[in-house]
Amino acid sequence: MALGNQGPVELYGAEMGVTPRWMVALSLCIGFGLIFFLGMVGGVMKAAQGDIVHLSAATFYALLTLHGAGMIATVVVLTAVAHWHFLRRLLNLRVEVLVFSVLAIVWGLLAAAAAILVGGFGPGWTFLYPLPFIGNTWPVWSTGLFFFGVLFVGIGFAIFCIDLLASIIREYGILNGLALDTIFPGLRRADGKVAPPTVIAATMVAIDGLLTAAAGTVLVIALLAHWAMPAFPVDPLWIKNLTYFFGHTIANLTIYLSAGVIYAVLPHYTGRPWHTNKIYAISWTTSLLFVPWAWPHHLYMDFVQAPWLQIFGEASTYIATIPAAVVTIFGALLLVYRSDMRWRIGSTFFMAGLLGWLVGGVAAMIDATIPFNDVLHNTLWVPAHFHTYLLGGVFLFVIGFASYFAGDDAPTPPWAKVFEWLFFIGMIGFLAMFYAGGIEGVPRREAVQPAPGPLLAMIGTVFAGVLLVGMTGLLIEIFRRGRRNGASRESDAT
Amino acid sequence: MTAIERRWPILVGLAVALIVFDPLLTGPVSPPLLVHHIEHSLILLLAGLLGIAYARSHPRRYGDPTALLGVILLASLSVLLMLPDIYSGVDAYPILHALLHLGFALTGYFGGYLAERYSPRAGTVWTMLVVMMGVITASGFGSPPPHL
Repeated sequence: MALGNQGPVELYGAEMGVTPRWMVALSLCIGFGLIFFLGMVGGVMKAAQGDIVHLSAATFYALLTLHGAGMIATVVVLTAVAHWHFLRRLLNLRVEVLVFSVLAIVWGLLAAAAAILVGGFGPGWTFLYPLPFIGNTWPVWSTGLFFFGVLFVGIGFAIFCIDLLASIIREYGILNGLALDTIFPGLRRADGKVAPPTVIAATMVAIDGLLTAAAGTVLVIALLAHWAMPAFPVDPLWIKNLTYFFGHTIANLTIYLSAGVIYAVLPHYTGRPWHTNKIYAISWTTSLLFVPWAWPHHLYMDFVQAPWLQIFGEASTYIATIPAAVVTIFGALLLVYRSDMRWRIGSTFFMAGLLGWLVGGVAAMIDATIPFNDVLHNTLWVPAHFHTYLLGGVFLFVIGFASYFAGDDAPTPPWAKVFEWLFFIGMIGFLAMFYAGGIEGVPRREAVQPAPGPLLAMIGTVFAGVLLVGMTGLLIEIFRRGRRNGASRESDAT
Repeated sequence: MTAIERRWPILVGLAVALIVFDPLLTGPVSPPLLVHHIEHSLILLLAGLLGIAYARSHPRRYGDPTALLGVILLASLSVLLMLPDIYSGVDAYPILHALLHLGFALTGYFGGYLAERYSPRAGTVWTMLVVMMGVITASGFGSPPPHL
C-alpha cells in the first residue's frame, strides 16, 4: 500500500463556532500564562537551592516535577499551534481537530498539576520506575492521576500528528511531503507542486510524533496497570527505555515544530522566499529517521543496556541533530544576508533563537558523547543544555511567533527594547549559572546542592528575576499590539 | 480492479478467522508471553487491512473528527487487551480465548476502517502504528526483568 498523494477529496466542513485566529490567540494566552506560572515555580526552586527561601525536600521535588512536566506540555502546545497557523491553509487543516488536541493536552496538564499540587507527587517529570510507586510522601491516587494526565498529553499530541499526517498525505503524499521528488523526479506531481520547507518539517514531526505517542501510550498503560495491580510485572530497563523514547523525542520535536515556523516567518521579515531543494529533503529525511533513535544517550550509565544500543544512540544523536539544524541556521543566514531585514521583536527573537538552538544543540551533543558523559552525567550541564534549546531556542521562537501574530509591522518602541535587553541579559546569566554548575560537577535534581551550587543558584535566581521582568514587559507589549491589530485582521479570521 | 485486488480481502479474512478460532481447535494453551503478544499483533494487522479494504470500497466524506477519536481509543484498547492478566484468565478456556482474539480482530478492523474513513491512507498508518505498539509490548509489557 503506497502512501501516495490522493488528490482532491471531499471533507467534512468546519462545524464549530471557533475561528482559527481566535483558537491560536487563545492557545497563546493559555500557553504564556502557564509559562509565566511555571517560570515562577522554577525561580522559587532556584531561590531554594540558593538558600534565599526555604522549601521542604518534598515540596521541592513536587515543584521540580510540575516545572518539568508542565513546561514540556506547554511548549508542545505553543509550538504545535504556531506551526499549525501556517500549515492550515497549505494543508486544509480543520480548527476543530486543533481544539480537541489542545483540550486533551491542557486537560492532561491540569490532571498532572492536581496530582502534584494537591497530592504532592514528586518523582520528577521523567517519573522513572520504581520511584512513582515507592515514594512515601504522596498518596497512591496522585500517582494514577499523574499518569492519566501524561496519557492525555500523549493523546492530544497524537490527535495533532494524525490530522497533520493525514492532511499531508492528501495534499502531497508522504514522500513528496518530505520533498523527495526533488531527488527522484519520478515522484514529481503532474502540477509540479513541491512541498515548501514548512510542510517538510511538518511531515517529519507528524511521523516521529506518532511513533512517540504510540510508544508513550504503551508505556503509560503499563505504568497504570502496575499502579492498579501492583502484581503486574514491570521490567525497569524496558520502562526506562520507553520513558526516554517518549520523553526525549517529544521534547526534541518542539524544536522541529519551531523550525517549521521559522521557514514561514523569516521570509515575511526579509522579503525573500525560502525555497525547497534537495539538501532540505535529504537533511529532514535524515532527521526523520534518526531522531527516534537518539534516546539511548540518556542510558549510558545503565550497565545492563546492550552496548550496541549505546553506540547507536550516540551516533544517532549526531546524525539526527546536525542536518536539520545546519540547513535551517545556514538557510536563515543566507536569507538575511544583504536583505532588507526589518528588525522587530519577532525577527530579533527568531534570530536569537537560532543561536540558542545552536548553542543548546552543541551542548547536548557534548553531553551525548560517551567520554564527556562519564564526567557530565547528572550534573547541571544537563539542565544547562536543555534550558538553552528550550528557553534560549524554542521559547524565543514562540515569542517571535506571538509578536508576528500580534502584528509586527511597527518598529519596536524604546521601552519595549529595554525589556528585550532585560530578557536577554536575564536569560544568558541564568543559563550561564547552569553551565558553570555543570563544569563544577554540581549534581542536578537535588534540593540541597554541594558548593558552589548554592552560590551559583543565588546568582541564577537574580538573573531569573531579571528574565521574568523582561518577559512580562515583552508579553504586555505583544498583547497590547495584538488587541490593537486584532480588529483590522478580522478578514483573516475564517 | 484486478482479480488479486478482489480476492486478497477474502484470503485475509480467512486467515483472521483461522487465528481467531484457533483456540477452539487447539484447546487450552498458554504460549510464551512474547509469542502471545506477537500473535495478537498479527490479528490486529490482518483485521486492520480488512477494515481499510472495506472503507476504500465504500468511499464517503473524509475528515469526520469523531472517527479520529475512535481511532485513538481503539489504539489504546489494543494495548489494554494485551494485559497478561487477561491472557492468564482466558487461556484455560478455549471459548474465552477465541473471544479475546475476536476482540483484537474487531479492534483492528474498526481501527483500520475509521482511520481510513478519516483520511485516505490513514488506515495504513494506524495499522502500522498499532503493530509497532504490539511489537513494543512483546519486548516487555507485563514481563519481569529477565533474571527474576
